[in-house]
Formats: sequence, structure tokens, C-alpha cells
Amino acid sequence: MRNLLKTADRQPEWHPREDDLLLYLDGELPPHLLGRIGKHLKVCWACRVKAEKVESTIAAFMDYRSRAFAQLGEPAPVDTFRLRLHTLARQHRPRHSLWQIAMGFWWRMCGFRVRIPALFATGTVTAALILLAWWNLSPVPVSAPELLTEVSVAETASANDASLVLHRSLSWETRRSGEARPIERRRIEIWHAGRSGVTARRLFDESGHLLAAEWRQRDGSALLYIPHTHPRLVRNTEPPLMLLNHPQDLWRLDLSAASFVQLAGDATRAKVSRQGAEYRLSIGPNHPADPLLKAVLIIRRKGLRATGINLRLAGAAVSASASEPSKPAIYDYSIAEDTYEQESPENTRAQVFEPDAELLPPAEGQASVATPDLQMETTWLLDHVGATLGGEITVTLANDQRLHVQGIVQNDARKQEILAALAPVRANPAVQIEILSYSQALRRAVTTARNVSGKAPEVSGGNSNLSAQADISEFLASQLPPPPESELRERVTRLSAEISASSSNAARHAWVLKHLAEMASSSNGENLSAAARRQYLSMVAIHAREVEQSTRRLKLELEPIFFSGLPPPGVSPPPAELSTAIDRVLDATLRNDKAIQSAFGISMGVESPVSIRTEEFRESVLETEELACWIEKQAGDECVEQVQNKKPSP
Amino acid sequence: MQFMTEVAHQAGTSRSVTLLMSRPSMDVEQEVIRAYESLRSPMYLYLAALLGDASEAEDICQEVFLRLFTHCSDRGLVAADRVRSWVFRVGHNLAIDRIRTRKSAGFFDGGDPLPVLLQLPDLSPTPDQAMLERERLEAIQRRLTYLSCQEQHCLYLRAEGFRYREIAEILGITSSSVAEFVRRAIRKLMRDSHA
Repeated sequence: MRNLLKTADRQPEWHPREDDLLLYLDGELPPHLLGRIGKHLKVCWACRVKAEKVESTIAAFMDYRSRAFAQLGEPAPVDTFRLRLHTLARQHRPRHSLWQIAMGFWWRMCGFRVRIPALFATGTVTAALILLAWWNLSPVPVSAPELLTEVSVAETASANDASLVLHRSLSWETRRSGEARPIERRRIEIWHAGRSGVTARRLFDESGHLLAAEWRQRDGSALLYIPHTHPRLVRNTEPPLMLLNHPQDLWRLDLSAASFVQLAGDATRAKVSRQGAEYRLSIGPNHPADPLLKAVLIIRRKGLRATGINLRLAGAAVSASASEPSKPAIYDYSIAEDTYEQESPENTRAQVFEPDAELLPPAEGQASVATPDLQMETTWLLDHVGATLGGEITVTLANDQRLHVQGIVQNDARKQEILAALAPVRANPAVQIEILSYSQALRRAVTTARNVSGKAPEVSGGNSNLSAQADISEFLASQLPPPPESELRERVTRLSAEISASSSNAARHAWVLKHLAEMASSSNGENLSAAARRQYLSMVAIHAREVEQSTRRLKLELEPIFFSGLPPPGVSPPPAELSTAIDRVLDATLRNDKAIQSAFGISMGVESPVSIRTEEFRESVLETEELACWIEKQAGDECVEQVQNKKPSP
Repeated sequence: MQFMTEVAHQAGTSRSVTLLMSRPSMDVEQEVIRAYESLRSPMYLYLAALLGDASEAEDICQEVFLRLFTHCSDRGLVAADRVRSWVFRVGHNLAIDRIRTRKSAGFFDGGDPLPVLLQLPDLSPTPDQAMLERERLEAIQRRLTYLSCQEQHCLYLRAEGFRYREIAEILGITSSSVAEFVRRAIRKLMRDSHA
């Protein structure tokens, strides 16, 4: 009994999924599955063959890659780089804290370069620490301009570092003169992308509701948004002094040395005092009518960064203060902008810089007229996420000169996936996207259903002719050894479903081919650019390959059962051009699918004049396969030819 | 201060890279040169594949290591076992920037394969074998044009020996997306090679 149970694992019912097989080969599976698949591969030839196919594909690619790379040769010798690096090192003065210097010294003493007894090393380090503590605590005379310049340089350097994203979270309080309790507390979230120079600043109330937002470009122009109002485009951001006249806009003031210098006018008149770990720079009014009575900038001594600003205003009789409780977060700009739009967890960083699309005015210089290239590009993007199949999403170049991308998809996740794929064209005003999930569509339908008197679709009686299944059953029963009755029924059902699936798949891809051909041969089809043409050809090749494979599978499944005893097939004439071939493929695929659905009684009410047992049907299947193969080859060859023409060999 | 750790290495490279800390700058300089010597070749080839231009790849390759120097001098160490993925991540981003700048978007517009790959030598002893070989390579090349840019990136980075989580870090996507892209890429390549 125990042996029997053990051998249950060796039964071929369970096979690892294709994804798991690749993960297994790549060593990326969790350990519990690793052992299971490893064991299974020892006993299952079919899976082993699959695994070997994957391995040989990888081997072929690696061979191709190494040969191609061999043509490139080696990069330039190290000397060139050494020279550049040395020049950079001479110009570059790293900034280090005293603590870093002390730790570096100790590290060095204790082991890696100079072997010194540990006691001596520790004694030296202690002496050095005492010295450093004295140095660190002693008063350092510093002037306001020097301090402001130093802080300003550090701010500019980190703001312009293209590899960084800075995030600051400020608390903002407003008080009436003479009152200790604030009248309002706010939170300001600031994100700055070094690469694009965009600064996104959002003002939240204590409950976390958005009160206002600003997206500021590198050139100073900004888009201001206050909920329930139309966004306002500001060509050049008001200088800090202008903001003093609008206390409600003071949250837009930068907490930086540069802003303070602009407020102060003359930095030499600022007074510096040292309080604990901070410097405080304060200035009074420039002139008697100055709305700014007092401004204090707080600079943290460690790292020299501005951590707070207090302003006392005359007109409004209020004082406002911004302070930054924690150090700004710094992120490496490790992700290309378009790539992190495609993945939801990383979206956050992209989204913080982007105002909502509907708030933005149309981009300047971007034509709002859709072109065939744009249509092809959009189709190409959709094709990558399989959204062209089964008419899930339609792309129509409408009479209003806009490209309408419409469809209803299974769920919200799928909708987001498709929207992410469309990211490169979403901002284009000529593209109008309306994609709904089923639930959204349903809600919309419910609201409109009351006004529409629809007639329920009629379902005709099912085709009770299940003789095709009877044939399969007969065929399987004639095999040696004949399967038991219960298993026979299951196998008949499974084979019928596989036949039907192959046929439907071929038809779905044939439809996509037809749509592509129509798109390319529409009135403006001849104006497709080379890049769009290449996209078109590669999509045609991919879908033709799918049609070919599905049809071949169909042929192999049907051949022993229905085609035996038929005379050998004739040779069909080759097509003259791509579009004709695509038309013929679609016709043949649909005809085949209709015959299959009719024979198996899968689609109710489908009646086909062609029986799947006839020579005519067999010819049709063979013709589909040949045509699809021809289309794939033609499209692939033309695509490669275009690429070669574009890049002449040196 | 100096941290010396062996970089975990991918297939084919057994040299260790020692990195990095800040003082004195001469040490950082030496460490960066050692890192450059060790990683410049795979970095250069990857960039060349991305950009389709050897001289641009060379330029960006050096730029990456200069940035490594600045990064280590200013902000301290890069953990030694992450140097390789750091370098590839920065190189990848710089290459993408360059492609965006020059507007003739290599294979990112979906149409352009690796141009350098068309000049394959005939290595086989007989003309028949050479032709078969070329046909085989061209078939793979044609199939590569069907891959999306993400699929190509994942494939080439996997070929460099990176694990999925490292590729995810370099491209800024999730590991499960990497697995999906690699699976799709292999599937598309398989269609051709086993037709």
C-alpha cells in the first residue's frame, strides 16, 4: 500500500506549468517546488523534452549573443579612463564629517592596511576622539554670507543631481501675533526630481486632505492647483518677496538658503547665532514699509542644511513657520521614467511628479490630429499586452481626426495594465482613451437600461448533432488497450475542448491580422513611416505564426480521426500579396471554425454547410496553415530587409 | 575607511572587485579603477546592445564609473556585492536617456533590432554549413525583433548572469514582472527555433 502511494507521484497526471519549468531551470523556484519538479523531470519524458527545448533556445540565444558581441571587440584600454578619473579626482573635493574621518582612521589602524597592536590603535583613537570633540565643540566664528553660500551650494548640488530624487516633508504652522497656539497646522510634501528638475509640492491639512498643489518646472513656470477650481498656469514663479503679499500662498516658499537670501536682499545684514546644534540667521525689515518684520532661517550645523524658517508679517499680523523634523529622503533615480509607469508598486515616485492628466492644459506644439503612424503605434503598444485579441480593445481613426481607443475589459487590474501599456501615447491630445472594466460598464449600463427597450437575444436550440464526439469516442475506443468507460468520456470531452480551442484561437488571431491589414491599407496607409511599417510587419508576423501553430495543432488533432481514408491533398496556388493572403486566411479560418463549432455542438445555433469529415474541410485547414506560414515569412523577411536598409553595414 | 569584500560574481567572471569608501580619495580612485577593469567589458557589451553604437557605449561606460567615483567620494560606500548591479543600473538609465535624446529610438520604438548583430562572420568550414549557420542566427535575430524592449532588457541582463531580483533592481520593476518578461522572451524565441 505504501509503495502504491509512493508511486502516485510518478503518475503523469501532474505536470509543472511552463512558467514553473522556466523558473526551475533558472534556479528561481522556492525550494519545496524545486525538489518536486526535479523528481518529476526524472520520470516524465514529455516535461524533460520541454525543458530541453527551453535550454536549447537559451543556448541558441547565448551563441548568437556571443558571436555578435565578438564583432564589437574590447572597450578602450584602461589608460584613457584612468586619465579621466584622475582629472575628476583632482577637481573633486569630497565632503566628510569629522566622525567619518575619525572612523576611517580607526578602521585603517585596526587592520586592513597597517597592522598595529590593538591596544596602541585604541589609545590613538581615544586621543584622536578627545581632540576631535574639543575641535567640534569649540566656537567656530562664521559669517552669514559664508554660511548662506555654503548651504546654497549644497542645496544646488543635490537639487541638480540627475541621479537623485529628494523628498521633504515639512510641517507648517500659522500663528496670530502674540499667540503661542497656532491657528492652523499644515503638512507640505515636496518631491524633487533631479533629472527633470520638476518639483511637486502638495499642501495637506491635519486630516491629510489635499488643499493645494504646485508642479514647478526647472524654468520656474508652475502649475497651481486648488481642488474644485481650474488649474492656473504661472509662467514664472513669483519670487519670495511677491509671496509675502499673499500670505495664503506662503506655503509655496522654498525652505532654502536661496529663498532666504532673496527675502533678505542683503545677506550681510543677517545676524548669526548658534543654539545647540543649529545656526540661526535672522533679519529685520529692509525699510519701514517692508511687510516682512522678521525672518529667521534655521540651519542645522551637521550637514549644513536649512531645517526651518520663521516669518513675521506686518500686514496680516501673522507669523508663519516651516520646519523639517526629519532629514530629506534621498532616492537613487534608478528607474527610467517610462518603465516605472508600467509597474504599480513603483508608480508612486512617478505619480508624485505628475499632475492628474485632466488638470493639465494640452501640451504645446502637440498636434491634436491623429496620424496612421499614431494608430499603428497605439496598436503596437496594445498588441504587447495582448489587448488586440478578440476585439478586446478597438483603435479607430474617427472622422473627428482623433484616435479612439475603446473597450471593455475583464477587471480593473487589466484596465490598469492596458493603460500602463498606453503610457507613451496617453498624453497625446489626439488620442482619446475610453476603457472600462466590466463592473464600470455594468454600472453605466444599469443607469441607461431603464431608457432602452432592448430585446433579449434569442438563443436558438442547441445543435444536438454530436456525431463528431461519437467519432472521437469510437476512435479512442478502437485504440489498444481501450480506455475504461469513465475515462473514455473524459478524454472525449477534453479532446473536443482542445480542438475547439485551437480553432477559436486561430480565428481570433486571423481577425487581428485582418484589422491590421485594414489599418495599413486605409486611405492613409501608404503614408506609414518606416518605423510604423516595421511595427506593422512584426505584428503581422507574430499573429500569422499564431494562426499557423493553432491550425497545425488542429490538423494534428483531427487527422487520425476525421481525415483518414481521404485522398492525398492537392497543392493550392500561392497568394500574390500580403493583403490577399490575409483575406484568404481569415475566410478559411472562419469557415473552419464554423465547421468545428457546428460539428461539436459547442456554439448553439451554428450550422455549417461544410462537414469536418470532407476533403473540402481538410483542404481548407491545410490552406490556412500554408497561407499563415507564407504570411509570417513574407512579413518577417520584409521587416529584416527594412532594418538592414536602415543600418547600412560599415 | 575602506571596505573590502568580494563581489559575488556571475558566470564567467571570477575576479573580485573591492569597494569602496571615501578617504583618502586616492584609495577610492584605485578601487574604481579596479572595478572598471573588472566590469567594463560586460558593461560595454550590454550598453552596445542597448544603444547599437559601440562608441556611445564606450562613452557611457566610462561615465558610469566616473559617477561611481563621485558617488563613493560624496556618499560613502556602495556595498561590494551591489556594485555590479549599481553600475548596470546607472548605465542602463544613462543609455535610456541617451536614446531618448537622440530620438531615433533604437529598439525602443519596437522596430529596430541590434544593428551590430547583422555582421556575423562565416565561421563554418564549408559554404553549406556557413549558410545554415547564418540562417539559424538570422532566425534568432528576426525573432528578437518581436520582443518588447522590456523583454529584451531582461533577456540580456539574464544573459549577463543577473538573478531576477537584481534585474528587477536594475530596471526598477518587480521580480515577478522580470519572471514574466523572461518567460515571454523565451517563448517568443522558442516559437522560431522549434518551428
